[in-house]
Amino acid sequence: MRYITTDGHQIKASKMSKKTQSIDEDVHICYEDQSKINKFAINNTKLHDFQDDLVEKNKELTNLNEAIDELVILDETEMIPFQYGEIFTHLSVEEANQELERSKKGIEDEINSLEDKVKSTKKVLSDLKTQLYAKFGNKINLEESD
Amino acid sequence: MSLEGDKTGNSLGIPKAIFLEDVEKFMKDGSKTAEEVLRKLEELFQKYRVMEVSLLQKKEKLKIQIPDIKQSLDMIQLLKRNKANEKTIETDFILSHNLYARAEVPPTEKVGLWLGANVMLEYSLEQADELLSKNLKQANQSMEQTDNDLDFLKDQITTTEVNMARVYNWDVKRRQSLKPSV
Repeated sequence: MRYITTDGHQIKASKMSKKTQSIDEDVHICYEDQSKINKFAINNTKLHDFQDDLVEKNKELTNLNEAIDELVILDETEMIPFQYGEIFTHLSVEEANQELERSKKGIEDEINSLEDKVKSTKKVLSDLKTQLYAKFGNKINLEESD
Repeated sequence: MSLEGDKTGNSLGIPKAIFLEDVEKFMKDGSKTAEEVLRKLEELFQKYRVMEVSLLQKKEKLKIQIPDIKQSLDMIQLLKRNKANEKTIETDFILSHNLYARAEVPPTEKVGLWLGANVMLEYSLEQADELLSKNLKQANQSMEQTDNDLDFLKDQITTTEVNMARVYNWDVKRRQSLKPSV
């Protein structure tokens, strides 16, 4: 018996163990099934990419929020070195706040769109899972294996 | 015997993996041994893997490049705002790692863009904005293309994996069916 591993997933394409020698027990894989398996593999990779991105963006958002909180404590008249890429420019509290809010808005939009993507990808995966399990039963394994 | 299909349908000319609709028929057709077929599949599989690695590297590069361009664009927006308000800004710029010096940047119309290959060219803010926006667009397109290629490759990899398993299983089955008569 041979297993196929696809990104943390084991897909048992067809099963032939010593106990089950009956050929009838093999489910024929047609082109459509193969496409579904492919689609599953691709979407699964995507889901992981999206989730990784989401973690990163949320980290950025936390940092921005902390920075905004810090600004409140500062004296209004103070100038703050604000990092742009490799250099710092000196901005007033108000300007710095605007810059931070602008970045925050951008990140929040990205997070929202990522969350939507995660949701729709999960939906696709669970639909495919239902279809593939219905056809192959225990001969296919689409669960995450750590 | 052909396990590779046409090379159209993707930008890199990657051969498509042929799905074995009927393993039995495929194996009988050229009286091939399972070992032979498995070896060829394995070869193809490795080729796909190599291509995948190089595409993933390309993607990583773009992932660094895109924020870089965005940052430069941000900077240009700031310079434009300062120009509009006739405002001089104080900056700390990096002299060497962990060492910053202070500089005043008066309103400016010109900015130097590093073009690579030890060349820096002076642009007006407007032109620099245009150039960088164009670069950003290209980088994003390239990213999209790379993603599409990766999807395509992933399809071929999965198909090849399933083919390998099915040929392997076919061989196991065949050998088992031979056993009783031996």
